[in-house]
Amino acid sequence: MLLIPDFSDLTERIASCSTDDVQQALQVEHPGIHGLAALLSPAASAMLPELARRSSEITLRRFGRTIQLYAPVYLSSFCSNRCAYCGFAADNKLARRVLTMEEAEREMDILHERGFNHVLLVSGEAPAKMGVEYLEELARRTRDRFASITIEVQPLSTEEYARLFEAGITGVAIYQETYDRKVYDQVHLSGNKCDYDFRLESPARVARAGMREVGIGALLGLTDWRCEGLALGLHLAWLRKNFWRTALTVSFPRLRPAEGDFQPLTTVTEKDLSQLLFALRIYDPDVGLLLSTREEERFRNGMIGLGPTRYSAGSCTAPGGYAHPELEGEQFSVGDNRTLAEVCASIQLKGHDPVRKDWDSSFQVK
Amino acid sequence: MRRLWKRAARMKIICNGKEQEVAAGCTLLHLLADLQLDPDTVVVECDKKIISRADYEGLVLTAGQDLELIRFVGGG
Amino acid sequence: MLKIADKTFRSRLFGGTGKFASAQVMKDALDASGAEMITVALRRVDLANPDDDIMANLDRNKYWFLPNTAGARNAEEAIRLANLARAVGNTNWLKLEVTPDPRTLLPDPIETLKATELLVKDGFIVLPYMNADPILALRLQDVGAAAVMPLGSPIGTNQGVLTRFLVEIIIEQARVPVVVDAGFGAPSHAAAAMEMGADAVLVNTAIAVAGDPVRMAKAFAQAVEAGRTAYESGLGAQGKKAAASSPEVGLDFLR
Repeated sequence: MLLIPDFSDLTERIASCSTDDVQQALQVEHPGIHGLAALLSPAASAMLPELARRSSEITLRRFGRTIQLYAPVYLSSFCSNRCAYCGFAADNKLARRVLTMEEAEREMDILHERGFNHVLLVSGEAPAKMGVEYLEELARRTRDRFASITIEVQPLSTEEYARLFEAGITGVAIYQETYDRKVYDQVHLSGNKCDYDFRLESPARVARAGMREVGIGALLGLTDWRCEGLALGLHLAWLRKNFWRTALTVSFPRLRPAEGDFQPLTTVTEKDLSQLLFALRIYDPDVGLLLSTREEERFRNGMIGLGPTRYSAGSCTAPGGYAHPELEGEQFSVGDNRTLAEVCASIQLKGHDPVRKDWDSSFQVK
Repeated sequence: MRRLWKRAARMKIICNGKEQEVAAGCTLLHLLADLQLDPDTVVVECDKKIISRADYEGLVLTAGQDLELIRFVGGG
Repeated sequence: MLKIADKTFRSRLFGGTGKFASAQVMKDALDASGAEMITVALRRVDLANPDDDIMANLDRNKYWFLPNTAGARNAEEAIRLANLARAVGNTNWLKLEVTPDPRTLLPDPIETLKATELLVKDGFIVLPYMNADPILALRLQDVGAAAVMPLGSPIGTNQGVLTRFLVEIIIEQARVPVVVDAGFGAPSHAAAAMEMGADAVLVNTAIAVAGDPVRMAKAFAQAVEAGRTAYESGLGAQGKKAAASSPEVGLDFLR
């Protein structure tokens, strides 16, 4: 059973790290959780170029000069949760829709035509509107066209994840949003998502079901990002110990102040985000690190080769938005509006290879 | 005590791969005593079945039985 | 304290009982080593020498016996030996050894995995001797091994931990204790394994065949303790030249 310490403990552990601790963490082969605390510390903030260099070295050695690409497909904006930070929250006035099977397939076809081989199916958490049967059916219809289909939906049971794996879904992203129990309770106002522990245990269920990959993450801007980073490190280590067959990824969704939207409870700058990403890379050389189109072109271009391994591109966050770009009802507004081709060109310009598929799900033995 | 069964009719058993002559009606416990072995440190396999220590006394040997007497030795 | 299954051990040096010149030397050497867990093998009683009994020389209240299956060439033989060991020693602890190649005595990974799974189901506490293969270690852990015992180098070679790189991965990944076994020629080898983070080491030959086995046992005990203390204290980074030669990374894009 994974236990995340109280954030006051984590804060203390991070705050007590000195420049010497950071130097040490940068030099050893396995910095461990103490090293991660040092790399996340204020002392390390002053050494960002050193962190970037180490992160870049490790990334190059482990992943080579490649960046994997994917695009999200928003299937449904219905949600029975009220999360203070989310555009899909149940009490938001919004023209909600769930795509029909044909519409969903059409969205995926468009992405396929644009050259994507990896899609992430996303939906709000409303099991009555979009349940396991829907995802199963969609995966069966489309699995032959894609190298990998992953999902980011409501947490499911081990049996349900196993069914989806059978149907051709190979990975699941499920973010804790915040590992701080107190803040978690504050921002999750109602709905199934209020259950912190059920959510925390979800990645383990995904792994137990045999999925090839599980993605975890914290929504940056809810509480101290340094503590979230340390909690992510603990979660990664626990998953590695217990589910060695499952590949792990971390995403870094970052809230930014925007008019009319939810205002972040804390500010996380690009420098903070990059420190978090470098620290996790140095701590765990094997973890996949995702940067989505929430972030701007300038930042994403700059980060190529320094730590991230997977980028989304050409994303639309409204259900049906690829076939009908005029549609409203996005979950969040995108910071990088470039097409897949444009993103690929930038990656190549940086001397990296844009990889559209890493595995063929057709190889999977049922 | 020993004399009693030594005088009785003899029979052959296999003990650790070698033929051995014992008195007919001899029990396993008798045999171990005769071989000067502490029954607490030896395990006996009789026709490939491990005999529980509690049964040493009651187990009457029969001709042709294949016994393995095994114990701990030095090893790494 | 080292914990394997539900038993704790103060000493992280496991002793072997083979290859000693005499029962008395063995007894004295084990005493000097401070070992609490010792391995024993199973053999037919030598009917010509019924007094040749190591049990008689060793106090079972002082030593925790770990019977091995030395000599087994496949899972079936190992399971037979395991059952005999359980009957002889009234213990369900077992060092599983399956070594089909009499020349190298290297363990057979496939038979070892098979036997571990069956023996665990039958209630044994299994500590398999294995090649330093990280995936095998995980597979053995998954089927219920109570610890894994990767080899440092082949039995009797005195080469130390030649499998260092792989043993490090095993230690990093394992949920069960890692006991490095075989190949220790000198106390410094044992210290090195402990510095890596091994939970314990098993030493037999190097002690048994030393000029003075009793003093060598003491030297191994000190080395194991030193290595463990160093590991727990957090070793300093060893010099790395790579960083200095890498170009500076530009972060001007950050806002």
